[in-house]
Amino acid sequence: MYNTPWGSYCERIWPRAIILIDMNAFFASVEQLDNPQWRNHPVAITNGAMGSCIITCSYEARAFGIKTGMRLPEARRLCPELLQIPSRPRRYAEISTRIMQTLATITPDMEIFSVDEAFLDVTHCQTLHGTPPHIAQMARQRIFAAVGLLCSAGVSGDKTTAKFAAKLKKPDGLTVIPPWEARQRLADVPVTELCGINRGIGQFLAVHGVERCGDMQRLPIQILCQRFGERLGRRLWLMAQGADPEPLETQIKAPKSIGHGKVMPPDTRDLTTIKTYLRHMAHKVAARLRQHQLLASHFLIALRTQEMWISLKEHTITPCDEEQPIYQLALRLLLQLPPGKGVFQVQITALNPGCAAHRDLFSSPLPRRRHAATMMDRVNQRYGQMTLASARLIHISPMPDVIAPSWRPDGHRRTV
Amino acid sequence: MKFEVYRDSLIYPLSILSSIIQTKPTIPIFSQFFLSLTDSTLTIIASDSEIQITASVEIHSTDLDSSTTFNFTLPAKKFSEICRNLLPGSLLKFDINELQAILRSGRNRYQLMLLNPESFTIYSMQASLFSISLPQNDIKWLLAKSSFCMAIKDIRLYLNGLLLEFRGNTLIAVATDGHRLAFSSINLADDFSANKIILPRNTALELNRILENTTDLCNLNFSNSSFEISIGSISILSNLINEVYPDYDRVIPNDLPYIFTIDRELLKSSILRTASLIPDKLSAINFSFSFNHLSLSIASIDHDNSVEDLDIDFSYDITYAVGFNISYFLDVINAIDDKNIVINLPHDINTTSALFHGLHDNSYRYVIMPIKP
Repeated sequence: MYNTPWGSYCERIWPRAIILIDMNAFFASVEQLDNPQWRNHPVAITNGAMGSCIITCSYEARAFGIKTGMRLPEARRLCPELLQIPSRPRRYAEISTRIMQTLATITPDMEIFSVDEAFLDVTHCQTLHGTPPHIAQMARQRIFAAVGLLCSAGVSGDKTTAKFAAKLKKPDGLTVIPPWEARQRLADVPVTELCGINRGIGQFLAVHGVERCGDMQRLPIQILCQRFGERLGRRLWLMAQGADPEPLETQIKAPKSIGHGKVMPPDTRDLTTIKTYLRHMAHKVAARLRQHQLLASHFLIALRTQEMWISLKEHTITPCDEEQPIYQLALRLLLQLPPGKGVFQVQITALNPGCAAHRDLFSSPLPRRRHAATMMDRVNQRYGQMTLASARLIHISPMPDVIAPSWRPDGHRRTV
Repeated sequence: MKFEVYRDSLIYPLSILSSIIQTKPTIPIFSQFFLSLTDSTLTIIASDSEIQITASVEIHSTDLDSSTTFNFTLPAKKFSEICRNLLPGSLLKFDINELQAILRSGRNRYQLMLLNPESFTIYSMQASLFSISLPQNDIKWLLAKSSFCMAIKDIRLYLNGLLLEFRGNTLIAVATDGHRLAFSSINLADDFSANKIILPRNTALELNRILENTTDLCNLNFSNSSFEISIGSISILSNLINEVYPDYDRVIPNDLPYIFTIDRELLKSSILRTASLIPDKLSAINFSFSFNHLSLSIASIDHDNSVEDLDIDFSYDITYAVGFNISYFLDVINAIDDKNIVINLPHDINTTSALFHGLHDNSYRYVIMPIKP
């Protein structure tokens, strides 16, 4: 099925072997899978039927120059026959879970990198499954058999090179960069092409004469360590040379924060609308804290205006997981919003949530409101989000759930 | 102005004073000692925003008139370091002018820049409401048994302190961080009218450090917003936390249904062995009880687990499971002096906490909120 020129890489055991599996145009592919009539048509996915921002699009649409993040009217100008499809996060979460379960049958050393990407460390299963390119091939075949979707794979000796390799052949590609060739293959690649080197780091490197990965070895490692710290500095220096030492994160770390944000209709000035959005975010943060048995007392509330973010860090008296106290904090921020100022985005984040298993000595036994919240969670879990909610949220225009790139099938990141 | 003082007479007071000096204080003058020379006594004051410690030191000689007072400041950490490194028995000679201090000892010479002493705020005790003299070891015991339960930087300010309550002829100390509570009490010779104060966390910890295990008396003075204690030549003045302490009586449970006694050392060593998988001791340790049997278990996030079984005197024919924060549990075990500790467990671990005390001494007790196993 796959003819790849990597036969020569299969003659020896790799000292370290990492595979990145990346689904191709994941949400669009799922929609085309479930709706055969949309196959071979340009398809763009938006958040809900009213969403105007394209969160992903099929390869047929990409051929017209349509990109993720583009506004729908602009996309329609490029491709008038573009099909707009509202996203179905629960369906994507279901397919993603099945993909991850399939990959877990190959090796337990797996890091779910995003909803449609996963790293596999196959260093220790080369005797069992064969050489890394063969394992990558097997992974792609198993995913196709399990969910009927195509994916790209990058195979190398470290995470950064594997990620770089995976995007070289899309869709449905397999790229192999063996660890002993990684340094040479990356030498002419701009450093900002590597995952983890953002614009800020890129600018710092450019100032020091590092435009391409090959330039990195001439930069003393101390300069990077002084600027970015010992760990990151060393990692940056090595990753540009195809030797990223970063291990896979196979465990989901305890959450440092739990937050929800929403882009609003541009320049919203109506206070009632802004309050409704804030209440909705408070509702979602509180429900998620309860879902994962967490409590938080510090919250970051933020509003984005045309020019800047206006934010406020506030705390509740005792750690909480309820909508009302969080919403009350959010209202304090509204007082800081200059009159007539338009809002573009809202955000509420619970900072440093802690374990709710350890109850407070001085909190009164569970009040009625807490019981009501628990019952509401159970109803919503069974019949769908917002089936039961505060009266003020019932008549809001549909604000569909969004599946975040950081979504995971387990733990606190399972947002959908 | 010149004076001389023996290094050895400075060492003890400086060790106490320098402990409250912050490395980077918000107000620069708080990195300094305030010194005042009157007659043949040198008074040294260290202060931060909450606590002020004053120490008096006898000087060897001075050229100052006996009727005048001379004030100056010295950088606290540097001065303490200089004195600590001088040879025992050496005489330290001061030569102070408005801008700098020159310190000489033997063939050493130090030149220190000075700040304006007038910018140093000296607090004094407000109108005293009542005072009491108590042996140092009694107060030290009271604080040692309770202060470890104080909260650190809690939003509820009153939890970042220690409650001292006069109730009849009893002085009670209570500390809690919201998940555990310590209660200790001593009997007084006289009855006092009911009174409560909350000592800030730093003051309680400093007092516990400075007080010695002697029966020497120290004087305590209380006012509405401050507290002063005099221990020999050292005097400590502290702000109080002006908040209402929560009703602690409500959360100390009575008449709990399951009570058993266990050897303290046996339990401690078992917990430490079981917890050896957990590096930070912040996780929960699970206790599973059945008739005359206790099973301790811990599961780490790496899916490792450890179990230890113990034969204990648990005379209830039930199976009962409860979890506790390991470090909370070890703190309590370490604080109880008795060979055997009594553990009182509630019927419903969701609503009621567990109570711990020594077998023979009920004057100090601990409450820990359980965790669902």
